[in-house]
Amino acid sequence: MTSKKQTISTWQLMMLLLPIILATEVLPVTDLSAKFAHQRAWLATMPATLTGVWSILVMIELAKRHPGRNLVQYSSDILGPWLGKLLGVVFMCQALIYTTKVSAEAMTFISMFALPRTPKHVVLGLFLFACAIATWAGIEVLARCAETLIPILIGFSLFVFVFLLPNMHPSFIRPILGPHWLETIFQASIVPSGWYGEFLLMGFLLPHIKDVHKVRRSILWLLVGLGAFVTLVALQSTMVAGPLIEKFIYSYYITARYISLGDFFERIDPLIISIWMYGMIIKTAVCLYVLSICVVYLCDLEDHRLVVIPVTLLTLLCAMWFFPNIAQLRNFLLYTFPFEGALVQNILPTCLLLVDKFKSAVKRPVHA
Amino acid sequence: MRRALRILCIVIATLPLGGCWDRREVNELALVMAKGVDLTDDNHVRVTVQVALPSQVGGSQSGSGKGESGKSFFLVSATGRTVSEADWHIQQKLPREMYLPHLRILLIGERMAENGMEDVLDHFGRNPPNRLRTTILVAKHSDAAPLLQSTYPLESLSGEAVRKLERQLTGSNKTLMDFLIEAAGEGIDQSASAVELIPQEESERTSDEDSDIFRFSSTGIFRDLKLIGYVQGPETVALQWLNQRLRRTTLTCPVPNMHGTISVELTQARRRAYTYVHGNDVTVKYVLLGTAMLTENETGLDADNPKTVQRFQIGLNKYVESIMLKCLEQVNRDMNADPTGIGQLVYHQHPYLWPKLKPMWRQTLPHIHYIIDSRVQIIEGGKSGPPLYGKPQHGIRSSQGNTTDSLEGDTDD
Repeated sequence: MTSKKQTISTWQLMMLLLPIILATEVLPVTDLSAKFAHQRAWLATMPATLTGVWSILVMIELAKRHPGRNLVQYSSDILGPWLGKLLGVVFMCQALIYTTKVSAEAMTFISMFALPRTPKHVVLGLFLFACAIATWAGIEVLARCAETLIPILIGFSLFVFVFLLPNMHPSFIRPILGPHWLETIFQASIVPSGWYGEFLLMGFLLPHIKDVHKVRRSILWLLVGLGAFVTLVALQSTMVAGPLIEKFIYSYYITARYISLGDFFERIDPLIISIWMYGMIIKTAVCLYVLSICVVYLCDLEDHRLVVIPVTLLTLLCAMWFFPNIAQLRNFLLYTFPFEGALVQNILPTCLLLVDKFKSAVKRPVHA
Repeated sequence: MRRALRILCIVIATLPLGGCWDRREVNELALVMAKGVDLTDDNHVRVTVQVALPSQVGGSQSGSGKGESGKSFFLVSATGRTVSEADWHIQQKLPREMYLPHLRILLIGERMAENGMEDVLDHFGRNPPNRLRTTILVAKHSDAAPLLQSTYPLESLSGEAVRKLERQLTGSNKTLMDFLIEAAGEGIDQSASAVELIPQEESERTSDEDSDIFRFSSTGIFRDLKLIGYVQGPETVALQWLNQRLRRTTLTCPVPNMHGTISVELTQARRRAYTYVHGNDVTVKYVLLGTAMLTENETGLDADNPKTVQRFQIGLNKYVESIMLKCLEQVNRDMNADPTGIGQLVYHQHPYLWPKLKPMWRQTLPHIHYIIDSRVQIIEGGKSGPPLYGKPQHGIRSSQGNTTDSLEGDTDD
């Protein structure tokens, strides 16, 4: 519908997807999964990637069958206008949940550790304002931002890892096996599985890719990299803080704050906050973009720029309304999101794909 | 459209006029460098903070000889039901905002530590400006406030001096994070280094104003976050070593069958631990590793002789084993605490057996069997072989013969 179609490269797609998973996962993942798995949190991050594989395969298969169309468009194609629109609304709500969740996380984090006296809505408003500008500019600009900022984010995380090495005690991850180890690991892996399902957003990004057929391999590699990275983060936090991780809020940040090199290289947390915000801004901007795309295609509008401001304002309201405090937010991430996410991110697209396959299998003999 | 844009620009431009809520000017902050927590008689918390005077800390060279004004810090203290309330009461006495992220030392008064630390620790683990890197120390036989009051000639801030003292002696600081990990960990009790204020000996006095000096010589042992006692002297070193916190130290030990002692400087101290469980019977085996350099040899033997070095080594290892055993017996049997984390070792090495042992761990603790195997190696003999003051004996051969004779004679004993 937009006059000129914006395109992104596979590398840019990877850079866009990376913060989508990583930005929100890296801070709370260890402490949330450690609530169930304790010192085995790092093991729990591995089975969680399965939902990611599932989501990636389904979304790419759908994109291949409907080149150039996005999730909302081809749900209408597959299920007909009414049911398709209904599913589109579901995906729109999911996108709204993403934007809300991410901006609420960013807000609580910033107001807890960086700007405790600044009113919450100002933090939130400024944050969303920056994201909305990027969204307004479109997916190409977002992709370029991601290309610039994400390598810095990765580099810095590795830097934190290296500088925490002297404080790591490998004995804290012991015992690896023990009573009920398998149950606790799988219990705990439910929590991060929700984040990996966020590959659902590919349904809106893949139409911008020139050749969808070559994407699958690189995205799967991206998932492997992400899984390894998150495991590393969990290992790092566990080895530094031992039995305390399950009690921390944002264990990654607290352990990174523990860095001290030769008494003078300390207190690097402002740097951590700013670097982590890069990922959050890109993720929120992408989610806002997806949300506006949803609205645009559901209402048969012309341009996503029309709805960026209303959608941002809606997010602003919802973020303050859904999550009045951080306990609500973490409770949502811990108990609601994994199940709600599995339904919308994995099961619904899979059903869509199955219906599509079934329809084409039925149709083909008729045409032949 | 243009007009709307212009209006929008003006609106946006007015947004920052509200000012920045979280700006912090350096000259509006009171940097808290050390904090002491004491228990008052009416069960309240007395918090004493050591606030740095930036002008004095910076120019410590020039401002050292000015008596009272030469102090580069000042103390403020207040009481409250909780640490936060006491902090707030301190804030009422301070024109500048108390800035906590630079807190280096948390000094716990003895009475507070004996009463239990639960009420205090939550503040430090929860309030975001507090960092878990803060070093935790116990004020032995005193409250925390007098310790913070004393000045130290070398360091401009006495809190800083205490922290460096601990690290200088054992190579590491026990941070709040370490303490909390011990508190939350399975099968381990807490310990923290203790500092005490001792009267300075007359000859050491540099000027008339400071009369007391810190000493760091013992470790406070906690059980369920309550201070129950101290281990002293060499057992402190043993405890640090068993907890894998020892980096370097100096040991002085007797040599078997000789009068006179040797001193070694120990580096790269490590330990390995193994546990064996048979029913309720727990055996722990510690293997102690390290390298040592001879720094003093009072025995008169030739440290250039491999046999002598071996003999020193045997003496050193025997000594290490004895202090380890003494330390373990003292903490496990007499205090019934587990600061070396034997329970944690069992939990790590026998995770399936630990749930059965855990409920009665306190009863098991005094009956643990120890196997201590010290394998410290003396690598360097120092700058000289035999003591430099000795007269040369009748040529190299005969002197060597002498020592080997005595060696053989000793081994026969």
